[in-house]
Amino acid sequence: MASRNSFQTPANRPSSSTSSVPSLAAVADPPPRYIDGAAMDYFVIEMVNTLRASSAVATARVKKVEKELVDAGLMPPSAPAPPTLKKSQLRDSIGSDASLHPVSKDGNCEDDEELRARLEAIGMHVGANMAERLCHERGLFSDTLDAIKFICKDLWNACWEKQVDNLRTNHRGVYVLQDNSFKPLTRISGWEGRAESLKRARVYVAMPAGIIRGALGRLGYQATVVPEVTVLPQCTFQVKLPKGS
Amino acid sequence: MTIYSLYIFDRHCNCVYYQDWHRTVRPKTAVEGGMLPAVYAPVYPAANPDSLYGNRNTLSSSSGVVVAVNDEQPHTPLPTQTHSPIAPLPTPPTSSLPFDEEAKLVYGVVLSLRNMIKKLSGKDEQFVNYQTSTYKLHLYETLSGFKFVMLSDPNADSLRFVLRQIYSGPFLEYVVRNPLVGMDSRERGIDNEYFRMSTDRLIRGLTVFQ
Repeated sequence: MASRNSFQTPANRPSSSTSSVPSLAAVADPPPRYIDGAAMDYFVIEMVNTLRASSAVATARVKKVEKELVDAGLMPPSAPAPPTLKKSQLRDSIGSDASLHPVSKDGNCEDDEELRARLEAIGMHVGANMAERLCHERGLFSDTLDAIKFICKDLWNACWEKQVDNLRTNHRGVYVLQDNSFKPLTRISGWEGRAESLKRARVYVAMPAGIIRGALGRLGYQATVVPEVTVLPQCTFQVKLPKGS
Repeated sequence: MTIYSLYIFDRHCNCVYYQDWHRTVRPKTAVEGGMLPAVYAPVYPAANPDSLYGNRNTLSSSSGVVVAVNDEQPHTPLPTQTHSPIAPLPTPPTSSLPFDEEAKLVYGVVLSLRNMIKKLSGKDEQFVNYQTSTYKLHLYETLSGFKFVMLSDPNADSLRFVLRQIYSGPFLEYVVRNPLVGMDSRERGIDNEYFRMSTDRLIRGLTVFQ
């Protein structure tokens, strides 16, 4: 996802007459391909809007079914339920239909939870595959810190063209990655004031959190990643790795 | 050369953005339903007049909250509201026309002239600017239907290049690539903090400004 201003397609490799297998070398070590950063941004914008609409439809459908059950007397009217079930068991991008969303004044927040869950699930697949690609020629990780450093340098470079600005750890499995100018957040700006823009920006760090989580997952580290935005465009990710890994 | 103001209209004939640097009379608040939200915070009709300059005010001090300068008096910029003057400032005169009327008139002029010129000279002719005794209006129209309209003093050279710079710089960066701004929305303008700041910086950085 490193951005360039134009697409780079695999060029026709000039076959050298001296080497007998020029094409094999090209296959084994392909030239890096890039995606246009602007095109990526447009895709992400559309993806978020589409998923928002689709998660609203899914939630409405669930609520309707619940209401029918309640009306038919098969289910007691639901008291305000605890927040959504763990999404970590999701294998695909569709949110869990069993999650209950209490109707509250903060209606936006509840819908956003579904949306963020979907985005994180997408990010996990993307991150896993990116990790496959980026790790294909390096050795094993010596320890978890090495894996985290890989995330901070190689993954960040590939996705967002820079490296993490600050890495902190408590040496007990919790790492905090801080990026002072996180690429997906650099252009987010609204007209209703900073607080409102901040609230809306939270959705756009869900997929990057998923990417980090997916990458670590594919490499064998089951982590939880919690993104946090306090000041645009700064963003921190808290990565919790389980004990003993 | 003084630059007075900038309007941006989209292809649905709505004014989606407004910014000014120098005006003799301040724009007047629009009527309810006359203008879209997210165009220009100070003239957006709010239900509670107190909230007009509350947290909806996206004008930071760098974006040019300009006080009115009367034609007869010398060109001394009065202190802005960020500095507290010793004596209370005289309130700048407000235009008698609400902002949405004003924007519609500007758009009407631009559209009519453009169509007339196309009829007169063929579809390859482009309306570029027109001039009156007090101002000059420059137009840059994109293929996507966005019209960038800039008003400046009558002695200015063509500012089309400035409008094109605004389009290819701040507009593409902070409007098209901004997830929070809907491009083809009929219900909102494109105002946002970064866009306002960067356009302001671009205009003020021009060698021909002021």
